[in-house]
Amino acid sequence: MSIVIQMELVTPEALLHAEESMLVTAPGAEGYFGVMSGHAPFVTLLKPGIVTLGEGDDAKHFAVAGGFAEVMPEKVTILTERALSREQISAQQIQDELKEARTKLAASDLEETTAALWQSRIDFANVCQELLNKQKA
Amino acid sequence: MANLKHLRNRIRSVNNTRQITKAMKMVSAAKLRRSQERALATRPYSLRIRAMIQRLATLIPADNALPLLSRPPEGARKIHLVIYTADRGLCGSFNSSIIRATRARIAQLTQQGHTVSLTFVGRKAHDVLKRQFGALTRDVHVGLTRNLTFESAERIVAAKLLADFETGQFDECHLVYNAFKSAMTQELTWRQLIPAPVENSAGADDEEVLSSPLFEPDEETVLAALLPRNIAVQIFQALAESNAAEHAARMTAMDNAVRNAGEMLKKLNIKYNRTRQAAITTELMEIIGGSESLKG
Repeated sequence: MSIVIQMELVTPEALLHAEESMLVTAPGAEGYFGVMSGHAPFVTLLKPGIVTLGEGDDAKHFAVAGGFAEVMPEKVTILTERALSREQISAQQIQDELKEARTKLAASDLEETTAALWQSRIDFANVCQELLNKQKA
Repeated sequence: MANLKHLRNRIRSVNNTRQITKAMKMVSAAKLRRSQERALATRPYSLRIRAMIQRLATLIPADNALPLLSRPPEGARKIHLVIYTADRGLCGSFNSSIIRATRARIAQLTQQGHTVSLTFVGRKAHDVLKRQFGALTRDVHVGLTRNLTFESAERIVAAKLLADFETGQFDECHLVYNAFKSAMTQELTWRQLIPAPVENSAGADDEEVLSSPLFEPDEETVLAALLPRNIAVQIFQALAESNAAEHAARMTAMDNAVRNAGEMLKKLNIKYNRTRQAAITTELMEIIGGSESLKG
């Protein structure tokens, strides 16, 4: 068995990232979990959070909106609506997005599903911010 | 001489048309490349989420099934169709094949006693069908492909569709769109959206159950979250495919138009030259005839 595990980060718009890594950490519905090669197969919901490839200074980070992860012994597939790597995030953009989503959400005549969509954008923006702060620290 | 002038005008106008169609072909070719990449990029997610649903659906007992998965009762149902066409024409049979298929399907469903309602994505089918089926139309979404993102597909089309489904406006939903096969071919595709199609693979079940993964929090919660997401994803994917297919169809149609115009131009030119030559010959004959008679 190989010691690395395949990781695929897929959004509806594209296959964003595919790479091999020793360790993949992802924000499961019941808390962050880490996966290494040979993990028992499981499927989980994901909360908005940070997906990490590898450990320490070489680690790569992605902010992801909620979604799903499918774990197989040799492969992790992460399906998420949106994902941004650390380099793609800019503070300005987060602020703009937060502002827009909050304004839209403040409008009272939203349907339930639409409101949930805007809420998820706020959550995602917050995750991006978190990742940005982590970088500075 | 009136004939010559007429031909000249004709040649000029055909030439202009050829230039326009050539430009349109170039534009479509450029757009095709981008939209093709995008359409292909939407496939992995769509395939995986469907596979996941398929696997989960076989693990869940049929009786506590979720509304998005459960079969509607037999007999007369309310069926909703989402029809994808282009916002513009001049793309060969791209729109007309969808329109024809839709018309046939509506007639068939109505005959079986079902109630049909329609959502149009893209302007063209609505333009043609509104006179006949205006009363059935629920929504028309135009201009979505101009700036195609998953988010806009989800917010504008999918959210509305789910809300309508939850309020019981329909109990079955199908998509019809042109899938992108290659730059030369599009494939008319019907896809069942609600209830999520599940194949009964009874034979493979034993094996499946043994190797079935763990679910967190549990099968039902995961499935309940997967199903609405799947709808948004399928709607988005169809949109991306349809968009790529549209540009491909337009490119092919414009390529044919350029070629036809070229052929026509060639024929017209020959005709023009012949007519001109005939006129010159006649003139010469007259002159010669005139000078001959003066000599005599």
